[in-house]
Amino acid sequence: MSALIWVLAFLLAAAQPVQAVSAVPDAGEPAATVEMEEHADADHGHGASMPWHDQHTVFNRVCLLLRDASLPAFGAFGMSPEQAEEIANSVFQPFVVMTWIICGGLMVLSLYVRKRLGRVPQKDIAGFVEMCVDSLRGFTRGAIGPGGEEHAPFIASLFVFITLSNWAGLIPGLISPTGVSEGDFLLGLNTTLSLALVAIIYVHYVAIRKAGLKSYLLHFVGEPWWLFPVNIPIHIVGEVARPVSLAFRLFGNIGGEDKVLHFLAIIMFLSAVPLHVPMTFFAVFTGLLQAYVFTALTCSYIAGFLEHQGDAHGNDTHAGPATAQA
Amino acid sequence: MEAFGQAQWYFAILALGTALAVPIAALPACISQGRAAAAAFESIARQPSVSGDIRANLIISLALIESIVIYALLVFFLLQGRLPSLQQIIEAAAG
Repeated sequence: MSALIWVLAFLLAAAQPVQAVSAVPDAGEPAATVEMEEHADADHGHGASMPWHDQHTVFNRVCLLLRDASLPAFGAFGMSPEQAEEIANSVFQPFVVMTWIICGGLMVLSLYVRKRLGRVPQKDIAGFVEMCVDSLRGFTRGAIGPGGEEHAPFIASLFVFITLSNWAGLIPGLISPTGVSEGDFLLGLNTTLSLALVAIIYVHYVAIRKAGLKSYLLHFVGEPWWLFPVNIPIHIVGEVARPVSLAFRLFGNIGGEDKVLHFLAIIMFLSAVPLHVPMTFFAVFTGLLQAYVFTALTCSYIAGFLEHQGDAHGNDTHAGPATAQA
Repeated sequence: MEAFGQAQWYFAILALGTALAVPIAALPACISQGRAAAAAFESIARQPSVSGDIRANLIISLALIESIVIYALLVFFLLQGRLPSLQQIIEAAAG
């Protein structure tokens, strides 16, 4: 359980800088290059103002209050007020604050449950968490193969974090960090891309650590070694495509789901037909399913690298059924 | 006025592309997902003992098929931001 907490802390530390840096320029470029976009720019505001300043939900107000309260703290590090404002604008965006809330909640829960671990399972939330950890460990063993439990802390924390992020958008007033978008700004891609990058870096780390550097490089060379001029570029492109496809799949599924719910709720206000109610239950299911898909694909990437370990390179099934495509 | 006519064509084709991006991608993806699910159910009916493995692989392959449609959905999100609002069209037509 303590390993789970540390991996969560690592996730948090790894995810935030990516979001803070890439949130603005990434999404801002397409709007700036199109000549017909002056009106949209006016809508989004100028200079230091960010798009989320214009939305007046309760959660956005709370984020703005947090931002204003934190400005003196940034000044204490010796930053100029403009620098402090720029950084605070990135760090206290609603979806980043939501990420912090989910991570903090998970950490507090883990610490609480660890304190209550005992010989007999508890009958409250501690028992529930124990059951979840048990089943996630079993899932990791099933997906990676025998001996896969040692990756369970990482895989399980990915699963729990992604599930809670997907479900957060179903609570009125909150947003899901994995699926939020505002107009042209596909903000959720920041979260999903950083998650996918962390997962892929972990996969390669495990591959080098467990299978050895030689076996890892032989994976790129491919089966008939004299085909290496073809195989190496193909494998490198495949490895680059993996995090991108992981991130886009998660973001597209959750973002599309939230958009559909949004439109169905508007239809409910117009026509009094509560179409969004069955869709909400379906969204609970798909939120869980997408977390499962993300972690299962990560597991099968790990398994694909680990199958080279030890035995000869005779078997051609190094990729398994799921990793044949990126 | 010439430029306005050209812009009209540009936005008409853009709107068509935006609207048709997801349906064109979704049609073959639905068919292939149906085929995959049918094959999985057939094999589960034939050999119920390995239904757990088949179900896990089915979900992963469905996700892989689905990701193509998701890419089309992302293209839709990107193109949607390029379309002008009704207000802007009326202003451009008046001016």
